[in-house]
Amino acid sequence: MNMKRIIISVVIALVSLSNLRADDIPVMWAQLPEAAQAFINKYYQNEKVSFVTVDDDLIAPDYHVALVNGVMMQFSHKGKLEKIESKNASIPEGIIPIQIIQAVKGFYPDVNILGYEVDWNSHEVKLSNRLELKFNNKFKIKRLDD
Amino acid sequence: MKLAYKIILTFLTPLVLALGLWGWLSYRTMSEKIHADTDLILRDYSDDIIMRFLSGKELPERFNGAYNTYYIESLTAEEAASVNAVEYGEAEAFLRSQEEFASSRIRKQVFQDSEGNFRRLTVSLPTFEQEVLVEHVLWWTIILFAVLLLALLAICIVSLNYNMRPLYRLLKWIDGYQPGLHADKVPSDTDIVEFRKLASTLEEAVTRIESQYEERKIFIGNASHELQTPLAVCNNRIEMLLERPDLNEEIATELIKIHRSLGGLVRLNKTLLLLSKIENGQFPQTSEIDLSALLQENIKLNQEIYGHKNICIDVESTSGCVVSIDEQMASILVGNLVKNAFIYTSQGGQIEVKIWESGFSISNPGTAPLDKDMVFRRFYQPSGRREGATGLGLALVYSVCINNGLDVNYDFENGRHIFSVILKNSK
Repeated sequence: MNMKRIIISVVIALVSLSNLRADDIPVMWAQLPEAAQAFINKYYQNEKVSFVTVDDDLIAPDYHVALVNGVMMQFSHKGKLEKIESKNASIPEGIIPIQIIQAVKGFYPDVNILGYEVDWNSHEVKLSNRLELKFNNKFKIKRLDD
Repeated sequence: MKLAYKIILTFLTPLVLALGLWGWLSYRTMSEKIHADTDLILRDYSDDIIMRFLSGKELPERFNGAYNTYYIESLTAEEAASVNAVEYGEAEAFLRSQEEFASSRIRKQVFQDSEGNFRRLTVSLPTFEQEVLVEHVLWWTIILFAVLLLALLAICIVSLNYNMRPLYRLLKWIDGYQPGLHADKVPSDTDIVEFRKLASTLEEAVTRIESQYEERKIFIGNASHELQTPLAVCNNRIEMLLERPDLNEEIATELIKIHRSLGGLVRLNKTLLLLSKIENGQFPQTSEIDLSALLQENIKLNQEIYGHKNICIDVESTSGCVVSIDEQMASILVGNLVKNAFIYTSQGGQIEVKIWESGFSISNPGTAPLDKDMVFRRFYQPSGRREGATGLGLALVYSVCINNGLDVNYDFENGRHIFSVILKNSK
């Protein structure tokens, strides 16, 4: 009985290990979580979608969406925005918390914010002057990378 | 199997399996992680180029001196529909910087631009660095596994040997022990409870054995002395009486009969005491003795004594039979068996002697089988009392065998009594 359990768990471990490769697969627009669809329709209603992919991960797959204007977004499996990035156009208002925008404007009045990344306890922005600023939950600057 | 080997085996087998599984899993995890990282780099690279392309920014140089390369092709809508939108694979990519082909990981991604045209981006990254890394991981996993295993084995052996020393000392002591040869004290210089108990139990047993051995030895000595003396005195008195001039023939005949009986009594006493001594293990001095030489010697002697019987001897010897035994014991064993054969073979009969490496057998013709269970008992004389016989010859043979690690058997086959002596620990 005990032996059986051990063997089964070992087999499961092996099977899950053989799937470690973080490949991504293409999906249709309709397969995107509804919250993500709503997000894109709200901020980029005029832009067409270039492609959508999802990580080949059973537990918490991330969705990647590219728009034809070169904006790239990453959503959690629940449709929550995790990352948005652009090469030239700045991120639409309303996506980045106002405290962060004010803080950035305070330091660098002339730069654009080209990228924004958020997780459970931090925010990170990428600026057009190649700087990266990291904020904590309370919007205090934690780190500055260049 | 030795205890140490058994313990090491039962300890190491599951450990080797678990360690092997652990090593294999960690190698797999590492190599998968390395490959996954390659794919992530490819994806970031691909995303970056697509973003630049779509937003109309300048694309990186195709051959920028780095190993990675890319190209973008246009697809028709049908072509785009017929291929996988995202595809990973292995390919031989040309490295401009190295002027040679190298195996690479490639990623193809179909995307649409703002005019609705389909394009496909192919990015490639040479993987020889990753392969080298994976190979390194494999080798290090194997080396680590081997070193760990050897270390465990060494620790296991050393700690076993260290902790088992009292036991081995005890066993060595037992090997060297013989009752009566005042041995050293039982080794008990350990604080391990189990070994102390073993040693103290052994000590008790040895003390008991020694005291019994001593008592019996003293008894044998006393009995021998107390009986031999009056018997010798009786014999001397009779001889004196026989020398008297006023002796008449009738009394002389009776005196001679008494003298003969007394002779038998002396022999019986000697033999019984010898038997007791053998059983008490009082012949511990052993040496390597070739029984076949002893047999030949005894046969020759008995042929002379019983020459009048015209007995035919048939000796079949394939090799010498060397036994570790006391010299006196060996001659008692062989002498009694050979003498018995001569005594109980009738006029013109045939005695067969076979000698091989681990034993010998002597057979003589007989009419009826003897009682197998009784034949080695003391005073067993099935054919009635023979003049001058003590009935202890085979009992002596039996005792000698028992006390020297030999097996003695009696069989009756094809009208012959067969006595065989075989070394116990060799077949």
